[in-house]
Amino acid sequence: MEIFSQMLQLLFSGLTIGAIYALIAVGFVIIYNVTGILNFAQGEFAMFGALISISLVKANLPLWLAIILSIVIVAAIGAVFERTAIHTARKSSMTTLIIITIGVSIAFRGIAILIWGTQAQTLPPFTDNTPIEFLEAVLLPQNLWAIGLSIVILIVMMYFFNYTFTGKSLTACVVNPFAARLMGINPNKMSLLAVVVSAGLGALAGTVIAPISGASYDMGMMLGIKAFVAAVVGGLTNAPAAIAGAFLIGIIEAFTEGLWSSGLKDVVSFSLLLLILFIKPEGLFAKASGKRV
Amino acid sequence: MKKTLLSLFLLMGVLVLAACSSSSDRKGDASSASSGTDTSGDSIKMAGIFSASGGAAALGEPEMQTLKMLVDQKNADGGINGRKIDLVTYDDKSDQNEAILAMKKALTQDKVSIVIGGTTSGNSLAMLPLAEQNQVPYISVAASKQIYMTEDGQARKWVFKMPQDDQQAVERILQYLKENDLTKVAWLNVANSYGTGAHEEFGKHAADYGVEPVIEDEFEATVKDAKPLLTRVKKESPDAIIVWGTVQESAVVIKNIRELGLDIPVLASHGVATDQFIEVAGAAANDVVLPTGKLLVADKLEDSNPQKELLKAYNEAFTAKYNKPASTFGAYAADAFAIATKAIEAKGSDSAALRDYIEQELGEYVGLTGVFNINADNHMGLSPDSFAMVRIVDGKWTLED
Amino acid sequence: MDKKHLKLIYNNSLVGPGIFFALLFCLPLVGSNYTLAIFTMIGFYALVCIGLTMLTGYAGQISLGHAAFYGIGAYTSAYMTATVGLSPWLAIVVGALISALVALLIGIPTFKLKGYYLALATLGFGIIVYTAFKELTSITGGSNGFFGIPSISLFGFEFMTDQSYFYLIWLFVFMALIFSRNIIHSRVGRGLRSIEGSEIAADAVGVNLMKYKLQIFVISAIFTSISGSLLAHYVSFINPDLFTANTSIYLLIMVIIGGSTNIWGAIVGSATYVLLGELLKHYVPVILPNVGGEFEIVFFGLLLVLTLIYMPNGLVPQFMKITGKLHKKERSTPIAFSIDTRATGGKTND
Repeated sequence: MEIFSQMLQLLFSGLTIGAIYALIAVGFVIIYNVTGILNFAQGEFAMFGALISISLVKANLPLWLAIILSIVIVAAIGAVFERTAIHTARKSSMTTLIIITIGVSIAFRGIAILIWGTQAQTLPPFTDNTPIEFLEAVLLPQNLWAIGLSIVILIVMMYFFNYTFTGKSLTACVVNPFAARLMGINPNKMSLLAVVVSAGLGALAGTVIAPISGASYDMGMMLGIKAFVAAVVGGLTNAPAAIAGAFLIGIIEAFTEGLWSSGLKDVVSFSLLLLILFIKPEGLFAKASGKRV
Repeated sequence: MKKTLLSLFLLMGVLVLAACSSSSDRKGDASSASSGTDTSGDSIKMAGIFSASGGAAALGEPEMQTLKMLVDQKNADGGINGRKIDLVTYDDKSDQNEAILAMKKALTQDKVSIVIGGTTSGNSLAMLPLAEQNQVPYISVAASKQIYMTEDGQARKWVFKMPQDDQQAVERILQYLKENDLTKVAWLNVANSYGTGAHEEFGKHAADYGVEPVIEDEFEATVKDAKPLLTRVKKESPDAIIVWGTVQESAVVIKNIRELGLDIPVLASHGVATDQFIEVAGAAANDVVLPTGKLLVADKLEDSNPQKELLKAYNEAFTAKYNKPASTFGAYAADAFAIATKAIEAKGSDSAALRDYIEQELGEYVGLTGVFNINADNHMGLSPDSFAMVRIVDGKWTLED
Repeated sequence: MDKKHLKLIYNNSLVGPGIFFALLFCLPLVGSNYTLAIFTMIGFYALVCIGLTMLTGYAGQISLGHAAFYGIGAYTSAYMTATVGLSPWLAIVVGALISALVALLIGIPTFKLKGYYLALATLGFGIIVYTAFKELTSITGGSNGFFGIPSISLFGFEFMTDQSYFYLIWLFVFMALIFSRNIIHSRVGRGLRSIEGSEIAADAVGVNLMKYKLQIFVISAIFTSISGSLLAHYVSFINPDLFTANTSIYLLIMVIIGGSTNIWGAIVGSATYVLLGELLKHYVPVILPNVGGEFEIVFFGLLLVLTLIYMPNGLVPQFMKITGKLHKKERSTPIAFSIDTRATGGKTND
């Protein structure tokens, strides 16, 4: 029984972290598929989301409003980022584009230092955070928020891509940009939309994690990299697959840490990344397209 | 092709010129930033190299601010023996290479008489060979024992150190555990030099105090959820947990300890001895016990304690200037500056004379961190009782002993 | 691609490097120790970037994991000299061999990947090696770092001063530069250039891509490893934080800023990176004195983005383009000729 409750505890932790990775990973997938760019500044959206909501709460706004406002502001930042950096450089080589997004992430971190300094800050939990005992394992309402929100996002994304006109247009740009253009879909607009949506998702991830682990200007990088890993392990071309990958990585990390060693947590998840890349580069949960490899 | 090369040379030349001229400009603007007065040829050059940003910013920023504030005050009061202090400060961004470059610049370009800084042990260790080579006294504000002592126990000739050793903080905790009969202990440290250094000391000394580690592990500085690790701790049912890290990661781990309902004493390192920790950890910070310098509990010290007035004065000055409470880390820089000032008062700007003064003539010195007794064998000079054990009660620091 | 470009690519004269290094080696006569320290730092990066430039620009492969080889070199040298007591020179060779071996092992499966997948795989590899530095405490000292690495000596001369390290590292850069130019002008180089043009076409005419890519990867790993070894001796104290994913990223930034399609880009890129960093550190606090922290990275990030938006090929190729145009105007080149250049202008590969 004790073993069982420990496993359950690890599962809860894994799902929570997995949910955070998932929200950011979906952002990657959307941008990657619409613009063909792997956005290294994705983690910084989460950082902005967390820090802006903290500032708004400190300015005495109710928490829910602070979160919504911060998502909107970050989405706007995303729009500016897309128009100035991605759009103007979209014809550059892949390496150049990678470095451009890295440059943006560096600048974002600097701006965060300028505004918030380097000290860690925290956001109050979304709701009363009394631990819930469940079969001797402990679950926090904030964990439920994280897991719940990413499941909601999963459903919304599936609906959006499969049942709305805009969503289908986005999908069309991915499958065949040329044909999409012939059908009157403007890829420029789609690129903007993709970045705005993923910036908003990143911001949401940031506000969810801020009550759990605190927030500081340099939190984005590792979150971003882990979400990359999650997206690739699951499948970079497909949002639900990336979400599944994110939960998988979260759970594997929790179990490595809980049963073996904290130091080797990263080794395990990155080894998994290499293994997937070498054996099944299209990702565990995505159908092979043959196009990306 | 030749033209291309020529233009390349031009580009490089411009950059080099700019870099070199910036370094000479720097002296001017540094002094104007710190004192706003002219730099007479008779001023005394001092360098402050801190990690005011990057991973160790929580420590380095107050250190940098403290030193700037004190130099400003000193210069406003007419300097030392009528000579102004010309302070150059560098932010090494918690990066070792930057620290080395800054140290090099301070020693060879700015030609300072004395250097204060090195926020983290890693940066201090990287910087000190340069101080030794250039024979300039260097007062470190980081914790590792290696900084002022070579591996065979010899004092490093040109290096002094202000904070207590990590070892002393660990011993203070062990002493506390022994006094309170907590023998089965879980040890968790952050996976960086701050954590592993202390872990080593813990391993060496635990048995001396009858403390038995039931589990020893690490957590990342970027930890988001330590519950997986803590489930392992829980299984060992220890009497107490030691969480050794700095603010953010310790806050996460201690929050998780409370959430898991582990109802045992939690001890933390002196690295979390700032109000920031109480803010980030919230209610979870309550009842955490940790060793720290006496700054946080200055009000609660007995009036007879010679440090009390000093601590209160420093805290007030810092709060007035920067609108936030002073931290123990800033106090290290303040002690370093005070000792440097005493040396300069006695000996002027000659590096070798300053070093000799600090080693041989300073004698007992009451500072913010504790009472220093620096001598030829011990370039740090504090004893473990310079640490007070404090407990956080309702978000306030209280004396535990 | 016109003849002029071909001439530039296959220009193998030693005049350029000769003049450059002759001038550079005069620097200690005028520069202070600090200037030398900066240029020594540039040298360490330049040595890495020469290899990385060949990999990026000529083999068309992106690596976000070169800090791993930097670290392997540094730690091997540290361990072999301080713990085992080997000669530093032998330790450099051992480090280079280990790096080469690791590069080969990781390169074989990795280079089957393309584009972003390759970038992620190398990033993952770099992070795994970084964790190894942190966790193998008995060899590396873990996060506490490795202290007391002896300095290098040669025939009884001990490299202690900035000046001696300045000459040492730039001598290595010089050799690496000549070596790399020879590679580029060799069969391997022509094979590689064909990869960059079109991999499928190169494959079709029977260029063994995998072999060339691996060769370049191994060579770049060796350069990086040597640079790491020398760095370890220079700073005498190393810790894992010198070899994080960030380091790999910054190395690639230098290559891209300098321009990966020209071997000189490596030197210009690392010099720009280091000098720009120093400049920003000095001037930004003057403009905005009251902000603590490394916020000057804002400017670094923005400059980086702007440079790449307006000069997507990097500084050196951009320079080549500008000077090339000036050159042509003087000689009043026929119009058709210059149109030809412009057609390939966006992608000049010189």
